Amino acid sequence: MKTEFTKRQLRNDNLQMANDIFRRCVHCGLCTATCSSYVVAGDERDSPRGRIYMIKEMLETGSAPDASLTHHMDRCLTCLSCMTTCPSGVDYMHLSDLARVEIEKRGPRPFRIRFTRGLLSSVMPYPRRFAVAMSLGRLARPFRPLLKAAGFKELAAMLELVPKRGKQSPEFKGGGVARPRGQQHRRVLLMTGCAQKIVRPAINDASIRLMARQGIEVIVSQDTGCCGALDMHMGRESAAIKHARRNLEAWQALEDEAPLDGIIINASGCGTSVKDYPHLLQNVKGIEEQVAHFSAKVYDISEFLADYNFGMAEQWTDLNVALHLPCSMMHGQKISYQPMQLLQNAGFNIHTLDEAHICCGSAGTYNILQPDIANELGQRKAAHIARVKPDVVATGNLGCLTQMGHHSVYPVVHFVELLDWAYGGPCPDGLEHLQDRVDRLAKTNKRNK
Amino acid sequence: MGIFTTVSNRVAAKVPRSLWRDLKEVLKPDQLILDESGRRAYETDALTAYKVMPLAVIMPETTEEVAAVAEIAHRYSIPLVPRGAGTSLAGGAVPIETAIVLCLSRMNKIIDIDYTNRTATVEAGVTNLAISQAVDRDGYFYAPDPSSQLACTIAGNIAMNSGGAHCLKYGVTTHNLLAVKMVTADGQVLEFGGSFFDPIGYDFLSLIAGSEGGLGIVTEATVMLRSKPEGARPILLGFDDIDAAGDCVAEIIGEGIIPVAIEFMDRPAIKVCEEFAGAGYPLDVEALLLIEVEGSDEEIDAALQQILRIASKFNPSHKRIATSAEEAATIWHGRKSAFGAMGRISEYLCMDGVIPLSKLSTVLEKISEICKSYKFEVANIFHAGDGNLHPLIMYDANKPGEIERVEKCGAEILELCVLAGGCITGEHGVGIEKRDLMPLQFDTLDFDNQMRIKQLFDPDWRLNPNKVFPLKMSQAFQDTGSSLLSEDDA
Amino acid sequence: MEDMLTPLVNRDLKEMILEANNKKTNLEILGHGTKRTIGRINSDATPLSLRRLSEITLYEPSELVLSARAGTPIVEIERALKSYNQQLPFEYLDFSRVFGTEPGWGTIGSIFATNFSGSRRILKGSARDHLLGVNAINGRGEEFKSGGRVMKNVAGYDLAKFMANSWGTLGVMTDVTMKLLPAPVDECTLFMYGLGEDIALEALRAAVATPYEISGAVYLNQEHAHSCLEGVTYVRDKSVTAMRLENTSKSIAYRSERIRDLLSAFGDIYYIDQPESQIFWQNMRQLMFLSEPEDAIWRISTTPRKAYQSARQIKKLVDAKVSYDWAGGLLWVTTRGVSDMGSSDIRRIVAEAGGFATLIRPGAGASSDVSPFHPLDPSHMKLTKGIKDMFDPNGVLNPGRMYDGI
Repeated sequence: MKTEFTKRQLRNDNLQMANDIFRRCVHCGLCTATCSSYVVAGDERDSPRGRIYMIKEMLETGSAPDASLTHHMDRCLTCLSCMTTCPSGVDYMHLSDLARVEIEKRGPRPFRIRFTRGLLSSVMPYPRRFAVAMSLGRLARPFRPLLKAAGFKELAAMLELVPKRGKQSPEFKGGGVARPRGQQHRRVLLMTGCAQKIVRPAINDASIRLMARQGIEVIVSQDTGCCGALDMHMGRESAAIKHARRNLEAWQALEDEAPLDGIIINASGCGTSVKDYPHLLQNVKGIEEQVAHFSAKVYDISEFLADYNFGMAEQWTDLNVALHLPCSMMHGQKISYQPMQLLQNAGFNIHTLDEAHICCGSAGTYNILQPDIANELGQRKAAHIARVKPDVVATGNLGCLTQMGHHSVYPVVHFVELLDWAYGGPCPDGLEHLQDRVDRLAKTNKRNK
Repeated sequence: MGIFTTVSNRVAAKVPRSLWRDLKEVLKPDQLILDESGRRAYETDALTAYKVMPLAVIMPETTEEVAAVAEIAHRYSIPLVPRGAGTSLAGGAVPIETAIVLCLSRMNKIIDIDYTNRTATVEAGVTNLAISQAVDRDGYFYAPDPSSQLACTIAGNIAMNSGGAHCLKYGVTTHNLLAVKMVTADGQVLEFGGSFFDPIGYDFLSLIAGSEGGLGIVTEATVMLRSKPEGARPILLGFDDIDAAGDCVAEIIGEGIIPVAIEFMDRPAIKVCEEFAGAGYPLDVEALLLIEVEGSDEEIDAALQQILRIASKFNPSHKRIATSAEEAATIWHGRKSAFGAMGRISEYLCMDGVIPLSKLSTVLEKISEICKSYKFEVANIFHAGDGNLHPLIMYDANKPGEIERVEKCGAEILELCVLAGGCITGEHGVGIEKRDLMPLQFDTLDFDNQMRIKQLFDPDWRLNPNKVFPLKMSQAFQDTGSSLLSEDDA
Repeated sequence: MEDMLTPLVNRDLKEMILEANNKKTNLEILGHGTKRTIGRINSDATPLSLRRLSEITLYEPSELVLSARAGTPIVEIERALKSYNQQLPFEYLDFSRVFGTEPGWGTIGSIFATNFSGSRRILKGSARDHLLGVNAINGRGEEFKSGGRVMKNVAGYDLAKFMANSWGTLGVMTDVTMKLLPAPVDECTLFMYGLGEDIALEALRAAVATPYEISGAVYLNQEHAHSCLEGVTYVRDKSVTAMRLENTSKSIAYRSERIRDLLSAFGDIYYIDQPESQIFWQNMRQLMFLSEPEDAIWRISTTPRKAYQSARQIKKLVDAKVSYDWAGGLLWVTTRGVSDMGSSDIRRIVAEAGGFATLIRPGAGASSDVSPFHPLDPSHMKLTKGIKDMFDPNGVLNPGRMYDGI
């Protein structure tokens, strides 16, 4: 597309980057079709192409973001499905990050929304605060209708997502080192996810067991914290940078002890952000090498384990698994086959879903901030799941797990929980009813032998 | 008051306020876009060289709403511009400043699928690919497959009479369309055709397909479904010389083989597609043919062998038969993404001329001469089976004067196509882009006979205004009843 | 022979039309008159035949395209196509047996003007679908063109296809350009005998739903079947369900086996090979099954889903025999002994099911009040009238042939 920046504007690094992105876009509109908000809203302004066009206008004229741009950027799920579709290679991710920072700085937002966003930013990345909030949330759950009626639909949506029962995992206790029984091959750090370790700590337990069984030493560090994704998606760039730098320091400390073979992420939403640290930290001088060094070691757990030979599964099940790859995995990190391959090797029957490229509506804090579109997408996803009639739904990110668990009648787990189960771990929470069937199958198999 | 005060352009100032009140009565608030930044998102389509901000944008959800809006627009003499996904490469959805854009993308329901009749009835905003996806698991598909099929809507396809790579065998939209529901300029709802073959009386569907939204606003369509072939596989044939590729196509067809698709790419195009899709296209050939045949595995093998035998006369330097569905999909993915992938390198103007196949080599040579004379790079991608050329002329949109120059270059290419016995547009439509080139193909009487039809359906010329016909000639027709220009205008 | 205008060049034709406008006379547009009796007959009109505009002006086998002057006899075009193993894919209907005229003598212009397509339409499309370009002179005496000689052309409104099916009421086509296809190397037909109508339709639908490209799917009732099977080995006095495959010999062998497997539950399947298959479909194209001279002949295009139900209703009310083409999408109905030929019942039933009924030939002793073309609803009639007024404001071309005032 033609752009209209002045030479002076183009001396600004951000505007130069934006200009390069706009020039690649041919406005062909293919992205509209796979955009998770456009399929629901059917409005150009809720599509990547429309947003790019509005951002272009804002940046070219140097004007402050208006209500319309703010509204429609807020409705973007950042699922990045558009980036998979775009044949021209338009970097929507960094363009939308740029716009969000601009909106956060100068955009018009009602108090109610600013309050909710502030609340999320100051609670979710901090596990202790988050744990307290969850307990309070359980108490407040019954007041959802009241909140909705009073116009606080975002707060109501937030409470909607608080699990009805709290359950702390008996095993997962936070920081520590899991050393494998036999010979140790590699040493990795596991990022445990801020909300994940509170809401479903079993995912981390399963990840640790799964890796330790393969001779991998797994470190969980108290010094690492939020990856910064939550703040970045809300346009709070400096907060995101702060989180990222803290993590870098923690990684460096560990690396100083002994070389790290990988920084393993089992919440793909975090993975997309951590892999993008080089971009996030590009203006922080003097740490370029360090950032590059570590970002080369960041793996989604499915990527890291893809090359491992797990051998025969201990529990060979005939379970039908509907696999939902999170957008952050599929579009953000271009991970396409690894989870499916791992699950198939472990003896599960994998079913893919129609409209697999469309978001389930979770999208970080999206289902809290945009409950209407999020609910519609959640129901849409649930309908696709129902068509498959699986025994269980597997995914790779806590957000999707919560969202689909909320909308679908089928149990949802993280794929590492299934893998861990197959290779000797406990039956995942919520699948107890399937254990009997698996046992029966095992007995029949034994008899047949 | 409220949001209406935000309409601030000079055109809106002339519109009676009661228009907004009347519209508000038939629409929900979120169906009416009036703010400047919202209207700007709808000022252009996939041809961004043209942009005009409309008076308003309306997002109807039912035929009744479209009819109600059309009736109101009729009373206030407001032009209407129908829009689907805005993927037109000819500016087909670019509004004028006094017009309301009727964006039908929310009308995206599949109404009925009937395998006994082998039809699908869908709302206007359903995407082309969504129809095929909806019937895929039952062994059917909808045949026309424009490259933008992922996003483009069925009503947009009808407006432009869209084709695609596979229309060599299955025909274009008009051959696959059985019925439409259409709202007229004054808000009546008319239906044409049904789940049966051939028209009752005059064949109005043949006029509606390709009328670029100028005769009515299509809100529903019934299309033919076809049974999916048992399988389909492409073969890639690379040639060191463009003529050989062209002759090879003519020979294949002359021998009585009609593949489902024969696609041609020249060296620059191959490079771009390969870089995007990693389809395994050879990078060291001048011309690449992508030929697809259908049938059972054995039938495909036999047909491909026959094609190989014919091709061997023309010394292809590269031969590769896709062996799996995945491989076939990647090969097609590269081709179908060609236009977008070109955007990685440069802005481009995408031409859509058609020529008789026998003139292929000479026309390609002349295209390259024309582009050279303007100092533009050109990549050629086209449907070789039916002679539909898509030269992509690369230019720098930010360089002053370049857009005008590239349009002149394009016009020369289209003139060349007409002189060779072809036409200026095979599947993208005329839109704004080519309206003033129409006299290359038509004379005054040809125009009169077309314009009378426009006049009958849309007496005030309010539907998708300023498209298809040369502006001066359509003005002359509206003034005098003849498109003949006075000496001053000519 | 009555007085007949036979222009030799376009200029003459144009002048004849202008003169008719001036003198307020009517013209009946003809080729060789093979379909002259279909539609309303206007005895006041001066016949104008295009028989002298007869020439193949362009034939490019490697482009699958042919242009001809509108008065070129179809036999001549077929002869030219044969030498390159090509064909007109839509299988035009030959009414010579029905009306007692010479076979193959219709003109190419009339084939497009009337848009009657045969059995292969179900796979390859109609005559109109293959019409790429037209030059014509409208009722105002204006020469205009639309389309061209290339396969794809979306510049301007598609007046070429619009002229198809307009029965010479809008303009006189002088030149037509059409798309061709290679003739199939081999063909065969699968016959099933004695199936009931509903079962036969089910079998035909199952066959066309396969990927095997059935290029003809007909059901002939016992009486109709008899006369259509001249020259073909068949089981007598039974209904015939026929499915045609056209392709390479290998493909046909494979596909016919697959269809046999698929339809085995419907009954025994007989394989008719190329020579007899060709005869059978030639008979179909010549409508030999409609040979009873006393009967009225109706051609009904309708929704396959309702075809059987509509036929049953018709037979309940009228003495009618029904055969099907296009896997149920086309009904050929012959009626006998009713003065309105069952018109009101047939048209009501067809309108309810969706579709239209054209009276091809009135029966012996039938009333002449019946409109040969299916009546239009008021909104379509208004548009039709509007179109007619634009192309032929003085109504000099085939006035009344299709509808009153058209």
